[in-house]
Amino acid sequence: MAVATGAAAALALSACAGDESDVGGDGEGDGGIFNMPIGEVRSLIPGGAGESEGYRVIKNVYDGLVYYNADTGEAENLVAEEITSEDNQTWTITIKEGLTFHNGEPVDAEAFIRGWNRVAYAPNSLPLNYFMATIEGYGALNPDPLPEEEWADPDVPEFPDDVPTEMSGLTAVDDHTLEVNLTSPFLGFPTMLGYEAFFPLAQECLDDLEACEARPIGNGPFMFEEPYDVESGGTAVTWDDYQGEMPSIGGVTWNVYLEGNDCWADFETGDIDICRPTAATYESAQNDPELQERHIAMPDPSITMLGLPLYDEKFQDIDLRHALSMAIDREGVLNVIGPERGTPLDGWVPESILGGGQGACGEYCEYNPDEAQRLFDASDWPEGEKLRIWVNDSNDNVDIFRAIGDSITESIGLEYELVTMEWTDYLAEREAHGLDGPFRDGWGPDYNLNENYLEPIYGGGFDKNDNGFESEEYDAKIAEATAAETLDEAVALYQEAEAILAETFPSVPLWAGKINFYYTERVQNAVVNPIYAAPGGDLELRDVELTE
Amino acid sequence: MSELTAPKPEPDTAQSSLWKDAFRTMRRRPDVIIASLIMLFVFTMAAFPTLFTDKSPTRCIGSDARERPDTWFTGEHPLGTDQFGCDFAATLVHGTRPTITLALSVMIVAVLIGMVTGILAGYYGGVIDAIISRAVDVFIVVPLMLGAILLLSLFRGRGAPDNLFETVAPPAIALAIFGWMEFTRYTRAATIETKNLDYVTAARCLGAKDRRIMFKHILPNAIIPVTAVIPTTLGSIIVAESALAVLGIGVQPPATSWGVLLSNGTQWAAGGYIYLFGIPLLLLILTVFSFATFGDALRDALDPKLR
Repeated sequence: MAVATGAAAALALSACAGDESDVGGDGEGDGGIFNMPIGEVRSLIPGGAGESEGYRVIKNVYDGLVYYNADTGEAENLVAEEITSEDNQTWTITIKEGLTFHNGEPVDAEAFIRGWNRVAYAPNSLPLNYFMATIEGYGALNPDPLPEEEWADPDVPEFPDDVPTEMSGLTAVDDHTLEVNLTSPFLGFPTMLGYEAFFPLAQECLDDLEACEARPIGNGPFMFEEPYDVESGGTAVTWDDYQGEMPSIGGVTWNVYLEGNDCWADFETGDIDICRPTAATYESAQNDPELQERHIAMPDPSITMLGLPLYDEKFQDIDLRHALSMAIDREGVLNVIGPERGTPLDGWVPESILGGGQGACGEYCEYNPDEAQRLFDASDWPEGEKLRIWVNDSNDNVDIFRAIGDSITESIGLEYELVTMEWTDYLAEREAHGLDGPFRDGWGPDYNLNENYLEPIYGGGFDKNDNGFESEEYDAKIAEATAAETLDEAVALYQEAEAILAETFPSVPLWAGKINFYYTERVQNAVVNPIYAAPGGDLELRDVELTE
Repeated sequence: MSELTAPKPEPDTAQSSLWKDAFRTMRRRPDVIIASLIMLFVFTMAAFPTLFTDKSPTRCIGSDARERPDTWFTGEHPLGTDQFGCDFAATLVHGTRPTITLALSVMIVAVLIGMVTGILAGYYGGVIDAIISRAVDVFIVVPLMLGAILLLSLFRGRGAPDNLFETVAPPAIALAIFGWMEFTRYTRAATIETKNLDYVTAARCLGAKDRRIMFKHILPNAIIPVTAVIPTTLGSIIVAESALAVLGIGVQPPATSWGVLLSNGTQWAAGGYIYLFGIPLLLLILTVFSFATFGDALRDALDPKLR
């Protein structure tokens, strides 16, 4: 999941968000309304977001087959009764009976097939399309697109008319039994099922996607009574008929912070219940004894990288790519943005993830200005050309990447220029290989396995990944790992794939995050999910309690 | 014999003695001397930044970020470093040039527009006066800041400026468009007063053309009240620039001006880094104070009626 690093303050958005946002405790339920920051959401229909901001809403409005335990991060059955397989290739999923969507439609095998087929169907152009690639029949739904000249919109690929709409690998054995055939054995399959791409979809939603986008029809503990607005946010209240464990709070209001605004000022006035301090306020927050009691600090598996455009001819030289990495003083940059914000990375998978912390990047991730200078001088970087660093403008990304640019300039004398874009435009441009320089690349895990940092980011070949990375050796290693029989074996093979990245260097690992959230006095039982906490401030809404 | 000799014409006697008188009066006031020294300091900083610092404001070292100025005016970083680890003294000194360039260019444009429209309105009267005066009324109704904010909102999202011109042009244009009316009014009033004086009538009888009368005979008189308000105006332009920068629509980072520094400093002051806010603020206050004091004294000296 691409991470926005959204949400951070000064705009008094509560005023624009309607009446819901200033409620203190007059929400639907008894527990009061929890106020949360959010950035720009790409989509609220499963499979359409693929980024942290949409997902933080979707994961509360929908229930997936499994849910990731808030303490251990392990997948536990939620909608699923049981997930079994004898050969890791044919999976039988039984679904709990009696569950419905907010609109009363049953949550059955068909609901999942409907959702998965929508995600896999290439003409829908959904960002999470690749998650379905392991399922049999995916290939038929994803033929080669028509030649580019025939597209009406040059950014939207078009496909032949006869693309099938259903994957052959999905069968509803009965209402509550779903059989999934994979193209090859994949041990990690059940772990993936808690992610947005695998959520069920109501028929009513599919019939009117536009309405469903504004007012999602989910099956989770929270539901929208009023449409969600991308620019001003919205409120979801607790769904009275929810069959699972009822949340304690009455609802949640998401307040939108865009263009470098952050939530800290609103947090200090109590208008936002959870927030991460900005670099400027970090020290004073840290030194405030009263705030320390309401502080959550823990490692965050979200990582920040400087993506390299391998599709651009200027970046073909591996020495140049290594030089850029060695030119960055990661400690120094972290000192600028707040020393407690992260831990420098020496590999592509962070330590807190299963199979991570291998140090695959090695010497190339160490700050070594002399070697960087030597490699840079030997490269054929066009004389006098500035390095254009692309970054989305949410939160303090611009400051962060200015510090990175400063560090590169200081080390190897290469001048830089920051190009800023809005989050969703940025995502689209990045996916279309439209950026002509290094770019901000953030990644938060979808599940607890090193594979999630390797295959979704760099897999799929030149066209599928943002970096234009293509390596047969790498793809073969990933395929080998996917087919492994035991988890240990798979993890080790994925680690070998990670080592291949060091030789081709599609991106510069920078740091793994550290969560530093503060919450208001009325918040009790504040739990942050170890696998995905959205940037800027996020709590497990299913667990949190409010006192009035 | 001698008493019959026609007095030798001494052109400009009145005028030069007016300036000389003004200079003599001002020279005796200590506040003016202090103000002049500050102005000299600021202008030198704008013109020759390297006299004051040998560091580059764009050389920023992350690991040195936020060093407080414990050594004060000496040592590696005389005024500490900012949040990116750039030398703060260098940033401040190099931020002076955009600030001063902007203030001067706004002033020059505003004075030119103001004087030309003022003389035209005052000299010709009638329809031209009506049009110009109503235009002045319209622009005066829109407060300087509001006008500038509205106009600058149009420039939003422009790319990072490459040179000094691109840095200051948008705020300078916005401030100039809403800052010329005062000069028009002063010039118009002075022109109306002057145009019926005997020497102007005489010039007209001798067949002088309108343009010659306006710029040769009237302008030298009209320029005096305008000159007196220039320093005060410069001060207020500097303040307006800072306000725009704090609102995020003035000079755009990474370029610096005092306003940009103040704007950044406000975030950090609350976090315990008061110098990042305090030093630019002090410099701004001192500068505006000196322009105001100088302007006040100049007006007193040039315009005896106000004394």
